[in-house]
Amino acid sequence: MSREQRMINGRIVTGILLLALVIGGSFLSEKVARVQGSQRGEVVPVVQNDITVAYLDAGVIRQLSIQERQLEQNRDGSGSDNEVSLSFVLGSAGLVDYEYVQATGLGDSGECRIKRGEVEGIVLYTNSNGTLSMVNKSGGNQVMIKEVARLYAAD
Amino acid sequence: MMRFGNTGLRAGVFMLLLSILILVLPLAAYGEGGDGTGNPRGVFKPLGLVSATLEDGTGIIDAENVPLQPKITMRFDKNVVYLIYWERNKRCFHLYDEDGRKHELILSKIDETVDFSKRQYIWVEPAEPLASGTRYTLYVAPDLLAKNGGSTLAMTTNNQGLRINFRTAGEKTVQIAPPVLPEENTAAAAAAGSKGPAPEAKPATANASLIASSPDTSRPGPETSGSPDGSTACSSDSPATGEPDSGTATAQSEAVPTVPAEPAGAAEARFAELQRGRKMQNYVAMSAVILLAGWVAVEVIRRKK
Repeated sequence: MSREQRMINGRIVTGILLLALVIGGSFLSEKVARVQGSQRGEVVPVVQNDITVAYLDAGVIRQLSIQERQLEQNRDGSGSDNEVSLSFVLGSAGLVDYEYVQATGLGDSGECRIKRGEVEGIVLYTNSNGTLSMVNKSGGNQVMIKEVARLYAAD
Repeated sequence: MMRFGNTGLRAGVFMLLLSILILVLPLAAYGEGGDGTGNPRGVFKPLGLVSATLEDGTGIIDAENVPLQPKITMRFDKNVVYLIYWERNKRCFHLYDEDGRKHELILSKIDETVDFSKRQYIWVEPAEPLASGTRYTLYVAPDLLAKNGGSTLAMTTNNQGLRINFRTAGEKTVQIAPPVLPEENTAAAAAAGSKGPAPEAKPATANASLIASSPDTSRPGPETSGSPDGSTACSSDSPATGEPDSGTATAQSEAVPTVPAEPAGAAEARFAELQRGRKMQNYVAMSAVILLAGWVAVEVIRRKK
């Protein structure tokens, strides 16, 4: 094998290794971002019976808010870009067939269990720090959970 | 020395082109799956149905002897389960029988964050068993939207949407149905349900017209003991918002649902523009492939010499 061939082979191997490194690094960084985001409350997993069905963050909530207002425009039309109803969020995550939703807060910010029939008046707000809060609009805008860490839906 | 210099230059050019390809190809592949963000000029590839099958893998399009509780797997060529558009897309699916009555559907998806390979699949099943020996039409409205926010089913169905006809197994039983009050325009209602806001009417029965649920069936179920937080007054199983239509039966004089209201000329213009954009994309891609092939050919010939 000539020197040139060896050089080319070396470059090919280097390229492949570089690719593997980039792909592996991407997966790793995604995993790290997800874990850190969950710990900080910036990424909220939606879990149904111990299976994570979706992840939410402030950006998703804002987009869902726009979608909800577009779809429900003939209704009251109220709301801002930073709020979306919990029922719409759960529906978008593919959840409707559930009995109750358990929302867990970050740290000691509480936990609450909401039956399916009680979901209607509850909204998720995006906070300025990228976390989500759960507010009961039908209950006088009472903040139920200041920083939501996890939503759990169960039969 | 000169020879080494030429080789180095050539290798450098090769590495540069390889790097460009490595960077561009994944993007192209990503876009192929409809996962890109689209582009602001509204040039999107069309969204189309790849297959519609039953659980045993047989096609359901124009099928006979379909089970009374079929679970239809619909595969599209782009991501149609994106969280942001799921509620919108759910409203595009409607099932009608041969008398034009609308039937409730259960729609399932697997979110792309959970299983990326299932992003093009939607599972459809009737909420209640179908009648035997009856012809049904599964209608998918043209507004079905891919994740890129621009590819719609209208682009491959000429704004008509999809109609999948099938007939259930067994013989039709004649039954005396209770009188059904005709509505003004069932198809128009369906179109409205697929295009815009849902009517506020809720079915009296549980599990209303469109129900999304996780497709998994094995659910261990957590411990549910403990008093619920907040009020306990509401224990009813009321359907969530986002359900498009009431489950009440509606009569229609035609055997097959009529086409929903056609979009105006603006929609047609948009469709034509999208088609033009698609053609342009194809030309660019073909030109790139030809250039690349030509370059490879020249390199091979030069090396042989």
